[in-house]
Amino acid sequence: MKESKNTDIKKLFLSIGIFTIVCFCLDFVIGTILNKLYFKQQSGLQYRTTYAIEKTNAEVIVLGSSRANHHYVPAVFENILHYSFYNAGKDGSSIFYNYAILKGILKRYKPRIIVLEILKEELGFEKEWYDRLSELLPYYATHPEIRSIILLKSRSERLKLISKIYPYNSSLLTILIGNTELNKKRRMDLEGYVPLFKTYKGSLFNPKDNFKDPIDTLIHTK
Amino acid sequence: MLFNSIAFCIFFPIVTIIYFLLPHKVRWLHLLIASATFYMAFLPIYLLILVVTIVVDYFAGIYIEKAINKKRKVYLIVSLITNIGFLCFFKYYDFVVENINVALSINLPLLKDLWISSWIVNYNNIINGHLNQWIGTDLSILRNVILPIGLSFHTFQAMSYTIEVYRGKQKAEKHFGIYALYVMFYPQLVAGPIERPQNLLHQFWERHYIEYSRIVNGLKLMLFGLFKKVVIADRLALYVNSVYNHAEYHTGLTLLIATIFFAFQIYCDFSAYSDIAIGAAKVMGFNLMTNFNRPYFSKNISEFWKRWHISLSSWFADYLYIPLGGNRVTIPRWFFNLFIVFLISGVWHGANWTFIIWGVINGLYLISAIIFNKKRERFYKFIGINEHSVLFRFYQIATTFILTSFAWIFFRANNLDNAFTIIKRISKFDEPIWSESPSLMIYSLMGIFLLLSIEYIKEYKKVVPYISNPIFKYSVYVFLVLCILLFGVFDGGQFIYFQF
Repeated sequence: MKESKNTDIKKLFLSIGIFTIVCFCLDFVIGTILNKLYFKQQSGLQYRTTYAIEKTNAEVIVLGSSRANHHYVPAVFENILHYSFYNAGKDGSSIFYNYAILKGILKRYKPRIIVLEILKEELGFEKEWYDRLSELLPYYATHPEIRSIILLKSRSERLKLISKIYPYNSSLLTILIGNTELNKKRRMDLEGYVPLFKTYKGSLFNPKDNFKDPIDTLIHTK
Repeated sequence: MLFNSIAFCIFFPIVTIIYFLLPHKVRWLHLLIASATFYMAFLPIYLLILVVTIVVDYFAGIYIEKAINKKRKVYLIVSLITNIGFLCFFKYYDFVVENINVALSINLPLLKDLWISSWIVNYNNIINGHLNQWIGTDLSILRNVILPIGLSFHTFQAMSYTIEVYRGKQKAEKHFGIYALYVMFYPQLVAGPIERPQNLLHQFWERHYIEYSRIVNGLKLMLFGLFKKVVIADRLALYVNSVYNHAEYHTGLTLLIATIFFAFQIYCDFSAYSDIAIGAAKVMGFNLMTNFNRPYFSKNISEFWKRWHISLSSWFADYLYIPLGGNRVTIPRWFFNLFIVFLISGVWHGANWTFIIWGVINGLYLISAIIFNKKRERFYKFIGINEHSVLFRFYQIATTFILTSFAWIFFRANNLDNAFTIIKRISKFDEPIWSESPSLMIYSLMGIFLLLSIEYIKEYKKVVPYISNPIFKYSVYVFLVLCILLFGVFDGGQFIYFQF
């Protein structure tokens, strides 16, 4: 019968130790580079989140998902109210995301008007809303005011955030593109508002399900 | 507990280290407690099902061995009825009742309407509610009774034990704890590989030591499994789910791409689970059977089924196909045997007509391959095709892949209407290709390319420069870790085969 050899045990711990150290070092280096590149972006969705949290000083702020982002035209607000305007809406964003943006903004200044565009579905429980909090992970280290919101994502988030790469998970291409002029050429960005130029092919008289149950139904029923 | 969760990243090293620190005679108890903890992380109440079947099968095994003549069969039948009874009740009751209700226009109660369901739900919620409150767990509070996780897997493993004892190929296990561990061994408890007693039971009696090469090989397998799951399978799932769940709004080309993606998704998802299971067991010194052998390099459907979910295919071969007579019968009966095996394989996968049709399609593939085999060979000779050429091999692999992908449409579709909509739309082959974001498509294609490259090297034993160089090897492992961190989908959730 053979037994566990001391040399095997030593070799194993040494290998695992070296492997872990190498992984941590590379994680730190790549994570740091990604962090620099992330906050260097000058266009795109991620840049707009950073701009909303860290830079905007607009008097009117619009928060919400795609409906907000593609419908609230800055010129209308600016010309009528004569207030500066920023549309911080984001496709597929949840109430959590909007709350985080709001907290980031309120930490710096108080806008005159804040518009929150919301559907009743966004007030219910949807696992996806929590998953999508990953969009805010890059701000965990530098924005303590939104940490409590980010930590709603999962119970193990603090542990995962030991990795420096993790906040930029699945974002490599987006970050690289955000550091080029490609986004500016691809999509128009007017004070955060992104106009859509496609043509709706369906019938306006036969609306889809989501239009059958407008927000005011919720107001009536609750 | 999911293999791709932080909880498992903590659970696995703790269980393994304690396992090696403990004296051999109490290791089984440690593994049994660990396995129960692992299973209870899903729904603790369902441990009762495991306990009942373990007790019945344990005594059935002993009595089968002791008894003579007809009594042996009685004990075997008691064991099989108990196992299949649980499986049928939880998995097929609603399916059967719904179909009867529709066919006869009656209103038999569904599973959720039975007293046992409310009993399970109530007790589950009481137990889980208290555990969540006291120790901060995150266990599910149920509204309706759900299928116990991995029921089909551990039921088949338990059945193989009593059948083997009945056949006299396996001695009845006298140690209750060891037998319980055979059914509950956590790496393969919820999604296989479905082990045989001859391979696994004796390993619990053996003493395992810390062996550098074995542990490293196990960890490598686990790492590659995790890579396949979070980098490839869960990434592809994002596209597949978006498209298949709204099939009526998508073009033929988009649905075709989603179908191809699903073929890779299910392979990576399920084989990843097997890799992690086999790797985790290997680290502790246990050898589990191979479950996948690069199935998408198969040159025909028959070969595909020898490479895909091997533990289930061989289970059906040993306990259903051969007892039915296998191929040593008349040709019509042989075809009937094949058809029945694949029909039941479809039913095993799920209580839905989509799975049944998936099984039937695969059965028909095999039968027609046998019917046309000689004619096809004659045709190839007639037109002078070199069957050993690379191009012809590629043609065979591509044809097999297309056939299996077609069957996967039924496997993945939400219902039959959904499946037929998808097939109808794919046949139009219309553009454009939908993609929520270019990066999703790029990451998905990168994942598939990487997988195929690795499998191609393994399949054809291609020599890679520096492959034996330890620095190169460790660089590859570091690369996999970085890929997981950079491109892994961490909110991907369960393995597909958990639902079976």
